[in-house]
Amino acid sequence: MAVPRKQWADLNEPYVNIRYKGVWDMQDLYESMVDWFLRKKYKFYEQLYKHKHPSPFGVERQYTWVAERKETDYVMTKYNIYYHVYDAKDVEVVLPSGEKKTYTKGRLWIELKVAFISDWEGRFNERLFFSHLRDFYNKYILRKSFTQGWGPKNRYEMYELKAMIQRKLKMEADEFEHQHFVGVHKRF
Amino acid sequence: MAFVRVVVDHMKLEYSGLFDSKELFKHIASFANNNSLQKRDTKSFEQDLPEGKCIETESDYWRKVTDYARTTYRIRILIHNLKKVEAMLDKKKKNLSSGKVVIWFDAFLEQDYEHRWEDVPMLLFIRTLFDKWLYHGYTERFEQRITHLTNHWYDQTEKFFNFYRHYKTVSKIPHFAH
Repeated sequence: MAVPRKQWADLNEPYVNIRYKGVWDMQDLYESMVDWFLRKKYKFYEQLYKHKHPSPFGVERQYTWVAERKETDYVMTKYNIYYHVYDAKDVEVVLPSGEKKTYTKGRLWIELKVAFISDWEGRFNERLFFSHLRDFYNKYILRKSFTQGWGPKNRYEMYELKAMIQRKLKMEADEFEHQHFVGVHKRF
Repeated sequence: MAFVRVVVDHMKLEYSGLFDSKELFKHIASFANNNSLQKRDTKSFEQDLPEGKCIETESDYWRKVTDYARTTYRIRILIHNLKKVEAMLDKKKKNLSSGKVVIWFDAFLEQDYEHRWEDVPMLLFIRTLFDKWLYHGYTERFEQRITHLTNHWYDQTEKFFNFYRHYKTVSKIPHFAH
């Protein structure tokens, strides 16, 4: 019996989970994350903003963000971000400079996902023959570019974002050792 | 599914006392970077509690040895009751942390990570034949490398915490790996 050959599936990089409990500057974090995407020329969409009825423990908010960047006519990078704030309360904080600021106290969960999408225009979907051509193109011609080019590039870019979030939350593990890992001469 | 062989299972390092928490994370990451390991972060949790910060991080570091075998090192760091303290170092004040640290080291050898030899039972049989008998020497050498690097990493981390230690090269594969 003939075994059906597997079709190419675009690679999804593993997700990053950040959980934090404490006090943070929500406005600054929100703006910095959006700014990071805009600086990198992503199109940014806030798909969902949910503000739940406050419980005795505090407010619960959910955000779902999508950011897209068309790298070439064939490849697109897409970020999916899920952002959940639990038991949030506003607290007044006095900074060392004596300035008063309103921070948020509560729990936070951020999930970052990055993926690249091949043939985002759907040009090869029209006929079965074209879809086999795409499969061949991805599997044998572009495979190295995906596994050794776009894949690591997206992953380390996501870690850059993660390090930035950790820095904003003043977390201990905010190092980003691999920032020059891909080298200076970037092809992707 | 790729064939995963556990080579180092839950090697534990415990420390309680003063240390530089930011430097610890940098130290772990720079060791990986110097050994050309790629990084995959899975967990990064931090809780600011009244008794001190509670941190949990888990990262996988990996390297493709060949287009068939990949070595993976998993490092899980747990820190409890982390508090900031000021200490005098060379007559200078330095901000350090105090707390309890537990680090778990795990290492795996992943074979056929591109899933090329598993579509048909015959291919799977040939793969097993090659892994166990024909290329047994290569498999063993990869396992030795993993054991060596994990023990070296463990030793370097002990060095960071300034433990009393005596290091000698360890490359012997533990019994449970077979």
